[in-house]
Amino acid sequence: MKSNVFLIFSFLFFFLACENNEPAFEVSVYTEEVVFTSGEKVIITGRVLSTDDVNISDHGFQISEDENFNSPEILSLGAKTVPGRFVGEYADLNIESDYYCRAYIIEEGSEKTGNILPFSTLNPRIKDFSPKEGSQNNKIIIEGVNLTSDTYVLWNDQTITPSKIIEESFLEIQVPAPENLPFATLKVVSQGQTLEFPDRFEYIIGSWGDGGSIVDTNKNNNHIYFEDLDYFYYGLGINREFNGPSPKIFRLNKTTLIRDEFEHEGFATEGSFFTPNGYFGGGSLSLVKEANTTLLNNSQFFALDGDKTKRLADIPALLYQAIAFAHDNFIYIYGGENQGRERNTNIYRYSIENDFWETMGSSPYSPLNEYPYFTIGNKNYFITESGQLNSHDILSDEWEVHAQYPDIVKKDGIQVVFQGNAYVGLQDITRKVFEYVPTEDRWKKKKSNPTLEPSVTLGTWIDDNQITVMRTNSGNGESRFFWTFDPFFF
Amino acid sequence: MFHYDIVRYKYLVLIGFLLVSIIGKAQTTIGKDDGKNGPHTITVYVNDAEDKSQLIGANVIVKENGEGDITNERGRTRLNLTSGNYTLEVSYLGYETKEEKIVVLGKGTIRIKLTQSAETLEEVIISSEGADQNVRNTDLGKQVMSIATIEALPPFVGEADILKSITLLPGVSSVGEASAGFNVRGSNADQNLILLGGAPLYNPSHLFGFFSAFNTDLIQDISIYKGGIPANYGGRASSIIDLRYKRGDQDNWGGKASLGLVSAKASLSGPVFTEDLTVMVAGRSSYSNWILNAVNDAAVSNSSANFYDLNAIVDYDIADDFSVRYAFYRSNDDFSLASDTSFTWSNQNHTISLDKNFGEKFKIELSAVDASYNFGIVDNSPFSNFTIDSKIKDQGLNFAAKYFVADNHDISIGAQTKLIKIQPGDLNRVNPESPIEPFSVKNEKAMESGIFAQHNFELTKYLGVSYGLRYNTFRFLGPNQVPVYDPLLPRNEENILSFTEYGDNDLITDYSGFEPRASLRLSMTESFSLKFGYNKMYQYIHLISSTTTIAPTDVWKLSDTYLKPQEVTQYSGGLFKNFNNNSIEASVEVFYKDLQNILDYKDGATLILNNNLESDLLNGIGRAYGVELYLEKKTGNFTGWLSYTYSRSERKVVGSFPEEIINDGDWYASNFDKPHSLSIVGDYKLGKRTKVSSIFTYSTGRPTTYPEAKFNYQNGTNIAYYDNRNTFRVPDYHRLDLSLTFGWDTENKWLSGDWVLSLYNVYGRKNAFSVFFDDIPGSPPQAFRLSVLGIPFPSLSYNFEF
Amino acid sequence: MRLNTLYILGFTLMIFGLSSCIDELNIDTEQKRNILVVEGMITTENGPHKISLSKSAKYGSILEDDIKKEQNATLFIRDEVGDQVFLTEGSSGSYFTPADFKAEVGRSYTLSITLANGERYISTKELVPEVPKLNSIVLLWKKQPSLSDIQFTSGIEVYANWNDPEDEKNYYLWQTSGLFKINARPDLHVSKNFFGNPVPDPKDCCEECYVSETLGGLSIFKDNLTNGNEITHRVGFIEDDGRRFMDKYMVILEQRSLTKNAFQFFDLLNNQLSIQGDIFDPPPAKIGTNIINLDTPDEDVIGYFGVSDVSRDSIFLDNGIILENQPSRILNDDCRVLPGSTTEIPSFWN
Repeated sequence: MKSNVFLIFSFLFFFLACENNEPAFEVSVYTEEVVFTSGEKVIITGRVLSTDDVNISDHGFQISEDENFNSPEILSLGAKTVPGRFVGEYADLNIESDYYCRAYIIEEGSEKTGNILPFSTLNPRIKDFSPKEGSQNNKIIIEGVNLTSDTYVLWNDQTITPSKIIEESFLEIQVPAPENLPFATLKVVSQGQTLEFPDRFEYIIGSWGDGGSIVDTNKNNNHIYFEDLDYFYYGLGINREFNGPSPKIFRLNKTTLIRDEFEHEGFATEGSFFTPNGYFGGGSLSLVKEANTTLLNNSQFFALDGDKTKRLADIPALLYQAIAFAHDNFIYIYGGENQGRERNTNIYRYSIENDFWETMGSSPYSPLNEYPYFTIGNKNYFITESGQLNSHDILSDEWEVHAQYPDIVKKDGIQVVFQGNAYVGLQDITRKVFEYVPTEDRWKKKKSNPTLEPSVTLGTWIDDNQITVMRTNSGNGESRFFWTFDPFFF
Repeated sequence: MFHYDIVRYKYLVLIGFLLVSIIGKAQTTIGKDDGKNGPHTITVYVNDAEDKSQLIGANVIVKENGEGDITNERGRTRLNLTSGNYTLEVSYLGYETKEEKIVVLGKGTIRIKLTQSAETLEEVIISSEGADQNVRNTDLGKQVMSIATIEALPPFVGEADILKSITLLPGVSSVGEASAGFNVRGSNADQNLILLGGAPLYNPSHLFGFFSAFNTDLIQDISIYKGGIPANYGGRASSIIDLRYKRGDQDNWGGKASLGLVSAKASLSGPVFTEDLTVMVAGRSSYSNWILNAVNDAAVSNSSANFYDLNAIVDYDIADDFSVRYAFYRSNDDFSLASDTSFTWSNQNHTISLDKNFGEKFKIELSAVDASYNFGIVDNSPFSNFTIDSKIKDQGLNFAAKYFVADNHDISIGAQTKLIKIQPGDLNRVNPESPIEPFSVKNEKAMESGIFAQHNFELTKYLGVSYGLRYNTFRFLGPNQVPVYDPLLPRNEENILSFTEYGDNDLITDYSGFEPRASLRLSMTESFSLKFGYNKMYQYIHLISSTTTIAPTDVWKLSDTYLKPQEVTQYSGGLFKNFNNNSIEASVEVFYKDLQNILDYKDGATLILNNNLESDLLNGIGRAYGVELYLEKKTGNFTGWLSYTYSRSERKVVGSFPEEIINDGDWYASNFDKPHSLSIVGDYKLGKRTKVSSIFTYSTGRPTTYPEAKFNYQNGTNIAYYDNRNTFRVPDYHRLDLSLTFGWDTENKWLSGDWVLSLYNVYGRKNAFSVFFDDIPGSPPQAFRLSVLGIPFPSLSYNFEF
Repeated sequence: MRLNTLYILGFTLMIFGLSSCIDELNIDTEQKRNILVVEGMITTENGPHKISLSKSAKYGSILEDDIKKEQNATLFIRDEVGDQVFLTEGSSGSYFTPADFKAEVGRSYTLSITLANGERYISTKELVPEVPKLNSIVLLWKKQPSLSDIQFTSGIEVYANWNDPEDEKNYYLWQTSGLFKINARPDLHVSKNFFGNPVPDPKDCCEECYVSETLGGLSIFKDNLTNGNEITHRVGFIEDDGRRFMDKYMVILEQRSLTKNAFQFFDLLNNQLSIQGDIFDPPPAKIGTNIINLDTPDEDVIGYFGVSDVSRDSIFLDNGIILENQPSRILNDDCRVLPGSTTEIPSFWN
């Protein structure tokens, strides 16, 4: 072997290689993303980086309000043998605070931490609750955001623990028994932060009592009713027995429930207007069967006069199903249909003092008395078929639209004004009653009538502290049931 | 028509130069009588009489004194003779032995042409080396193919194809029919260094891989180094494909032409003024555009699918021991479709090489290479037209010196340096109203240098060693802007912290390393040897491709701060045994390769026009191993070979982030992992000019990715969900090709060429190029197979010489 | 920029008079994975916005394994200040936001999912990017190259035109839909009798219908090469099927903004949809997600919870731009049998 070959080679080795030797890959940890934050909860993802299996005795996240991670909260996820992503969920944070988090691993006893990601917890907010009214033990859902797990509700300062907190957004609570108020203010307390709803919760109140019953073979509807001191009067309308208008008016002793017939010399009519204080008139002499039937209206007008009726000046129009209101010395007539079934838009006013009718202008629409109406103060209120509440101020002659009636409007319900509020409901076979508070322009639900049988309302009268409703089975029953209703009892 | 032009040209050339060409004489006088008796150095060249190829390993014996030698790799040998009359006996297996009488007066050159032996109808397929070279030398994993071998194979679309032919050798495979690249011993296509006349070739294909971009008429032979790569080769990590040009005809002007279905080619060569100066030119062109133009549809007829290649080689022997060669090569492809996109690519190489001998023992070679590869896309879409141009410029200087210590004992040293510049992509608008913002992917520049020493030494008849060492340096140079990534995060644009600016020629990063190479031969008997090899190679340029083959949209990229050089270490061994007086060769080779820093890409990687390519790439390791069996019958009417390879090629990519892990960090099959691969090539002579050839090839289907599930998205379309790559295989590949070659001997030399009738894929096997999954309305979501050539495909070509 | 590569291949082979072929291959993929698939996007337009949940199934026919909808899950979308909306379940694994819910530009949203089996998932935070307003819709008639003089594919290419903002990276997605009038011949309706022979069965109605359709195909774009310019980009193709362009066609285009990650998801999906088996194919890639399983965070999930701003425009097609009509295919039936058709004249028609 020639030695010169080796000379050549040794010459070559003078070019000493500086090969870039890559250091062995160290296991490291990386804080990836804060994917979720709420008031108290955070979800963080991290990664263990390695090109091989790892031997990590613990891994997880450190969370601290301090950038230097002095005494951090530790979210430990335990041992790990393969590299890859991990997710931590920590739900014990303070609301509205700034935090720092970083992933950590403990490998062979020594801790390694990842990059630091800042995040902020959110503040709890409340949005709404529903339902806004109800009774004891009803469920109420309070909607908000970032409601922490310690959230509770102050119910008129009574602490209620939610039965459920759903995704930090929904609280479910049960309505406690009302204490001394028929409403409640709601406050939501999350980690000491108190949030108050501007709206109150209203209890559905009112109390129904059994007012007795009588037997009455006269079955009529589209009738009139009114009251006077000890007596409640009802009559006219369609008599289903002979299938025609009835000429009778009955008088019922409010206390004894003894009924007798009342002397009335007017025509047998149905669809007459009437006021709660005993003025009535108009209506049709014929039985109205179909919409296009020609009406046989009359213009007679009466008032209760002791134990009989007295006829007053005739109405200047022939009206069927018109609406009448009594105001001090005046009676106002709205709507109704004439003989040709055209709707009336004139407003007529009767002066009790002068026994005189006059036309007071016109209404923007023509109501019929099968839908609810009532008077509070200077305003006559009408509920249209679609539930719109309109009013006419008889002093200013202004028409207004008020809060929508909260239920479907049906015929022949109660429409009584008691202690400044109107009570409407029990129409047809419904059991619901609503209270209209004119001062708040708001409808409130009241306790529903407990009747289970389908019933219809025949009339109402008012005593000192309650309303009495006369009802009958919607079938062919001969009984008249009396219900007493105290709208303020709870 | 094309050949008509060539004919005219030939006459022009003939008129000019034929007069001065030398006419053969019965007795050749060598040298001028200067009164000295010598000894004079007589250079003897031995060529094939027909195709002028240099015959390597031919025996030249002076009958008068019995001295002689074997011709070297340039088909040359030297004799030292005193003035006088001699008879040279030149013999070569498969050729008629020729006796040439010479009169030696002084120093000079003689050219001896041998004709193939007609009587025995023997033909040598492996012709460039001695018959028992495979057993006797220390080469391991080296295969030499002659053009004759390649031309004898059934052609594809009438074209002898070098790259398709080498895939019939053990350890070489390709992914499918329409693919330009090939894979050697489980390595990526870009790990093959293809040298054409010494210059690197970046895209060796025409027409998206259907044809090789070489004109076989000019090629002397092809050496394929799969292992045991000598130290003078470097820069690519896996294999060397060295295509050597022939020398032009030193005697008279002549040429060859061939007409195929799609293209025609012609070559012409001859001496200019003197036999010392020869010129060889060749050209090849497709005429596919004529076919396109015949289609009625305006859009189709306006399309283009054109390619051509041109070669020019000038050799000049300045003195007997000093020669210079200039070689020019250009290939061009222009592919524009009826759609709005057109592709062009071209290679262009200039090579100048000097070859100087100092006496018998020492020679030096010096060469300068200028290679460039350009690739362009033009998109003429309405409203948003653009062009993308990319370029590679590779300019190098090579120096090698070889000292012949004795027979079978030589030492070489050398140095190579080159400057590589890559313009990865320049985006421009065609019309000013196009919204495309001109953009240049940052250019790259590097200096790659290497020095080497190689020692080949036969210690005894029974032991030979060949070893070498190469030392490379790679300097990645500015100007450049190198992003600095957050080390904790996955590399992507968002995680760039800053940029480091480098000025022109500033050193950005450098890599260097030693590449030891060694092989050892232990001969048991004359015809039986055992060989062992080891080599290590680095690669500093990478083909970034997400497709399964070399596609024109691929990107070449230099190693930089982030992309480490690829590193391949190969261990190999082999048993070599010849039978039947060297007419049957057999070998078994085994190899194991360790691949470092190989590249893969992230899911959904953007490769084109990407300024931060490293953020879409993954770094992995690979391993490949296999057994290669080879059996060849070299003589007789029936010749041919059988090659069988069992090999595996696997990759492993494990990064820190999920997008940087492939197949859960386990080993997975590379795209070209085909465990079983079998080729049987046969050639049967029916007459002097009539023969039948056949190829049968079989391989395991290539790996592919099958969906692991389907899911609904986008209006209920069923979409395949893929997770692990390459866990399934397409169906196995097999194919039989046949060809019949015949010719008439007539007076008219234009008519006395060879007709080659071939039938590709004889039994119409629908070999799956790919299996893919689709949800086509009207049928359940299912697998589909794309077969590139799923039918028997005939072709006819005509080759003649003039 | 990706070209229709199968077309190249076919074309190349045609040059040689060859034909490559694609045929069905009977393969058992042997794989079966039930991965949660989440599809849905909320936009700045009014809802209800839909999120669909399903489980992937074995790749193969319905008989082998069908995709199952994921029912009875609880989903809510939450913004960065904690406001959240719950989704209500519709039919078959579809969940809807309230109709009045819309995303707001500049806010970020996360989707939380709790499956019926208790598995919990959360999406990463998605910030709604603003989308530039559409300037106009450009329609061009296009005839695809064909080797046949008689049969060819043609239709209308839809281009969106807008001004890309300069100081940000924008990612876009388009949804093209159409509305057209069709004139049918119900009087020529034919039905089959008991023996399967066609017999005339004229119908009384209806001759004129208005058909609305959502055109498939995913069109996405990023402005990295065109930042800050007025861009006209091809966003859809409406094939002339011999019916659509008989009378009047209205193209409705929604231009949506995507986040970068959403774009990457859709880009991968797009790649998947474009695989045709040829050499230019992108390799199959794993479809990603922005949904994380909170208990096993490395679990594979498919799909993206996206948030998007929308700019919407519509245009009537000028039939004059169609140079060659496809042979018309008159519908000999009640035109209401076509999906998405109605006899009501849309309010904005004319």
